[in-house]
Amino acid sequence: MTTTLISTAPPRRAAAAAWLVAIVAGVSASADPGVGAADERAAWRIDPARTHIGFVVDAVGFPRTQGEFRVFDGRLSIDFDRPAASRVAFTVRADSIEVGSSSFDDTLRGSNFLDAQRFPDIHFESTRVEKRDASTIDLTGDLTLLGVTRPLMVEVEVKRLGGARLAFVARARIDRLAYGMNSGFPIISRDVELTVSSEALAG
Amino acid sequence: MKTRPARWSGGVIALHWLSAAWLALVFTLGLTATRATLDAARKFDLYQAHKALGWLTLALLAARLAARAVRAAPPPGPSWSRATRAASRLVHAALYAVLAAVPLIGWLRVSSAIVPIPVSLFGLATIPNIAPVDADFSDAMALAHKLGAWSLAALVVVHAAAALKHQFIDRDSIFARMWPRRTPPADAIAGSDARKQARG
Repeated sequence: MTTTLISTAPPRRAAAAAWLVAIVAGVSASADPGVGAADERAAWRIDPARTHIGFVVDAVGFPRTQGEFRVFDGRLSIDFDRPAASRVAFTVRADSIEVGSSSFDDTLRGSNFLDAQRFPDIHFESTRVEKRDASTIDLTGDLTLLGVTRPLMVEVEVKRLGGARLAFVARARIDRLAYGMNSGFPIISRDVELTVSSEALAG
Repeated sequence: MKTRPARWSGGVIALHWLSAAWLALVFTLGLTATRATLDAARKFDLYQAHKALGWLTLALLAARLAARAVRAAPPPGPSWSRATRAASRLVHAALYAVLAAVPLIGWLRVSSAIVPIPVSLFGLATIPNIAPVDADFSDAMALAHKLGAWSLAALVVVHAAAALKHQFIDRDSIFARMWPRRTPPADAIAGSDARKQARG
């Protein structure tokens, strides 16, 4: 049985159907699913109230810009016994970007940056999950931004909070030039630091 | 030859003081945006407000030149020396030149900047760029804009100091003729009364 759960942040713009980030993880507890053993994959549901998708961009002669994406959707399944079988995917709604100023938001949504009208979603899907140590996962996946798909390395710190609750913080550095987002470079840095902090609930 | 009026016209006076307040605001916004320690969102908003209000000073300047063209200026003070007249002409010419140059240079700076954020009049209209993207040119325009703004500030200080000298030291009517009149002149009241009587 493969269970997929969708989690969406509180829809601030009545854009419940729109999603920006989705986290998907699949866990198979079966040692050998091929022989018909019961698939005990545990699906985790993201708690939108405890999820924050933040980013930081530096610039020359301008303060560091910090912002977040408010609308996201994710599926997550994690196998603690066989981390490599885990899967993560998330989708972020590009026009849900917020940096604390509506005109700044509009600029970032515009064609020079996220081009949210043409590319409404930013999508990540894991391709490889490796356990580094007891609490760290190295995630490799494909990030699709502005219609361009490139591999992305994500470091995930996972903490079991006890019971059916799991906390994680995922960090990645996105080279925006690789996706064709060249505006403002080199005044605006090429690297965008992404941090996703979230809590997930079993089932 | 046109008759020279004793006072500036109401339109010129209104636009003069509106410009003074407007420019003080634009200057303060520019200074705060460039110098204050603020978060990115506040700084962005200050820059955009400075750009919009700064661009509109060109419209204000055009309105002032039109208002001046409509009616003759009052004459120079009767007791002014040739040097005083020349100084007055020079400062006023420099003021008008800088009032036009500073926003135009700012517009060029914004247009050529590699961070593409054109002037937006508070979301109502977007002002087109007037120069191709060129980082070096844009930086040069930024410096010129800054020097121009401080030159304007210096000229305003000279202009205001001269006006105050006329008012408090020379005690002539030079300042008063640019100051809004609180009550209508006696002849206007008399004229109004006469019209009322004529209607009655």
